[in-house]
Parts: sequence; C-alpha cells; structure tokens
Amino acid sequence: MIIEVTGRQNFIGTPARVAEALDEFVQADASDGFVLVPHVTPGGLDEFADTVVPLLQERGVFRTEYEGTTLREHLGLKAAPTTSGTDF
Amino acid sequence: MSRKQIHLAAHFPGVNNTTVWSDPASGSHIDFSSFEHFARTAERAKFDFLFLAEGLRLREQNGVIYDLDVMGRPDTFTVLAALAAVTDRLGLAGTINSTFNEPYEVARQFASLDHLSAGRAAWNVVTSWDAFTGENFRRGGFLPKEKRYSRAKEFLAATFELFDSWRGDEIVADKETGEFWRPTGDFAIRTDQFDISGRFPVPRSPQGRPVILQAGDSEEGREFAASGADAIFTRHGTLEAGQAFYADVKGRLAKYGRDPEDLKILPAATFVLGDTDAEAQEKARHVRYQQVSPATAIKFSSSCGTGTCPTTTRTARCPRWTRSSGRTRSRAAAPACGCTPTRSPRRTSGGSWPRPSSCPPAR
Repeated sequence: MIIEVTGRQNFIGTPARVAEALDEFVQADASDGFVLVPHVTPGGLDEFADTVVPLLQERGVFRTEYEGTTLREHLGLKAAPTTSGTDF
Repeated sequence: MSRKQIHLAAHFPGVNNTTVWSDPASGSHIDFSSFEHFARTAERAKFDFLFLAEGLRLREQNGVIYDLDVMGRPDTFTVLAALAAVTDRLGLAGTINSTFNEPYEVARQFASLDHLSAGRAAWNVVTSWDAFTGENFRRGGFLPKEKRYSRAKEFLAATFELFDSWRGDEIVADKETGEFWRPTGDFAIRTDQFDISGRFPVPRSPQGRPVILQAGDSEEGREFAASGADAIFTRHGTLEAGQAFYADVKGRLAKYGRDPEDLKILPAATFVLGDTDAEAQEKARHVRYQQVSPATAIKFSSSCGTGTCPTTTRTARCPRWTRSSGRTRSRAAAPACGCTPTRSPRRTSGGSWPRPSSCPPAR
C-alpha cells in the first residue's frame, strides 16, 4: 500500500505514448509544461532527450533551437520592468 | 490554430526518494561531472531550464540521520555558477529560502549569477518557518508560521528594489572624460521584517531580475505566485486536477494587472520509457520498488508518529502530517497518530505490526 501511494509515475509507456500524453496534457490546459524528475543521477534524462524530445518537436510543440538567449525569452515572458512597483 | 508550445525543465535528481541511488546506472550526486552531464543533456534537448532543489538541514528521524535515501548536497549558487560556464542557453534555477536568508545577500547572488550566465538565472522562492531548520541559522525558529508568506513577499519586494536600483545605463566608462559611472544603487527599505539601506553594488543584470519561481500549493502560495511569480511548480498529477489548478491560478492574475501567459504552470512529472507499453509498466514497477524499499516504507510509516517525516512525499497514513516547505520538516507540526505498517509492504519479513486505533483504515 505504501509503495503504491508514495511512488509517483506520471508518464509511463513508449516514447510515442509519453510524447502524446505530455502534449495532450498541455493542450488541454492542465499545464504549460513540466518539470521532469528523472530517477537516476546523472543519466536519467538521456533517454527522454534522445527519444521523446524529437517526437515533441515533430508534433510542433517544442522548440528545435533556442530562439532567445535569456531564460525569460525561453519562457515567453515579458521583459522585467526597470522600476519597482509590483504590488505584492 | 497553432498548438501551445510546451516548456520543459529538468530537476536534478538528488536528495529525494524519487532518485534511485541503488540502480546500477546511478552515479554521484555530488561530483561536478554529474551536474555537467545532466545540464548538457538538458541543453542538448533544448530544455527551458535546469532546476536545483535545496535542503537546509539533513533529514533525521528520532534524532538519527536518515540513511536510506540519497543524502547531502552542495550549495546551490556555487553549482549553478559552475554550470553557467559549461552551458550557453539553458536556464539555471536555484531554490533559495526567504525565511533564513537576507535580501541584500540573495539579490547580490542572483544578480551575479544572471551576469555570469548572460541572463539565465531563476529563483525558486521558498519559505520555511520551523525551528528544526532554523537551528542552523542565527535566529533559529524566529518566524511564526502565519508570517512566512508575508516575510516572503517583503523579501521579494526588497530584492526587486535592489535589482531595480540600477537601471542599466550607469556605467559610462568614458576614457576621454575619465567618467566611469553615474552613482546609483541607493536603497532604503523599511518594512515589518527588514530595515536596510545603502547602495546595491551589482550593476543591472541581463534579465534585470531572475525569473521568479514558486512552489507553494496553499491558498497563500497560489496568491503569492499570482501576484509576482513567473512560473509555479505543482504536484497535480491527473488531467482533471491539473486543469482545475490551472484555471484557478490563471484566474487570479487579472487582479494584479497580469495576463494569463505571464505565469507558467509547470507540474512535476516522472517518466518511465520502454520499447513497448508493457515493458515500460514493468520497468515502472521495478523503479517503484527501488524507490520505496521495505526499509523505506517502514520509515515512512514510523515517522508518522514521531515527527520527522524522512521523505518528500506524504503517505496516506499521515493525513494530518504537514510540510513546512521545500525540503524542510517540522517536528512540531507532525501528528502523533502513531501509525505503523500493518504488514511489510513486500512481505519479505512477513511480520505484522500492531495498528493503533487512531490510524486510518488500511486500504
């Protein structure tokens, strides 16, 4: 019971199935993307990078090259204002 | 209509029970070569950013250092600065606590990281109010729980004032006239939590401010994110839960004069890949058992009654157990439900434990 409750596995399947599921999740406005948490250090992202990312790119939902230089540009965020005034 | 673009971040596997350190392919979580490999992979795949979590105190149980999961990690800023040198485009996000740090110091560090990385710094703003973590710091458990977000807001606003004390055109370096800069950087901040003034020493960085990330899922956390964060991390795993959270948080932006696209919503996601779906399911089952060994499962349960929950994941057996924030745990906040497992999860020992009547029913 504890193993089933505590182990999180959100996307399980072939690269094609995982790419499709990730895409559907975002297109359905359940998120704008994901923070992927691999299981193994340091190579846990390798397989995803090699197999799932190209499929997302084929689907036209993930960049094939960086278009900007800053993280703000990657995320499609407006430039930060130069004067304070954000009302927290 | 073009399809929505996906944003991807990579969480460096480390101190949590998602990471399977016993896997034959597992390497060091401390050596720089591991950070470098992970960052280069994320950049090769054109990810938005790499993310480092933080732990300000080693996890314990009954006063004994917890010894089943990955333990120990180096300082966030130092690692991100090193990664800035071996990557060109990848965003570099660090988790930095707003309860025990000071705005001047943190603003200097993020402005510096943003310079070193040419505009790739991000700050995951977390709070912690418990004395357990605070014992490591000068003021210990100084902050009442209800003030953790008000301090965080004051903290973030203070750093914004420091970042914005430079507009970006102050360094003239005119060799003809001998004028190097036009003095700037003045600040004076007086709030409930802070009383600081002086001149901020780091010129305006490429992004002006780091990208602001937020991970709180509480009512206050959502509001905090809506008011000023650029992205929010969540743990909503299902489509329906994700949609509800998405609509709720995006709907809070307008009252702060912000557009829905000004805040990105990024749930944490694990993945297991296979040549066939059946193979992937089998691998996932194997990973799950590696993550939660019988010994870890017992720790999960026994910690429920003693206070220091050793993992990042809540168990169904601990309904009243609360997280303070991030990786920090509060002994004071833990319930005294006295839960113990009724059976070894893998039945390797086959033993039965007495189950207190206060425990919720077993599934």
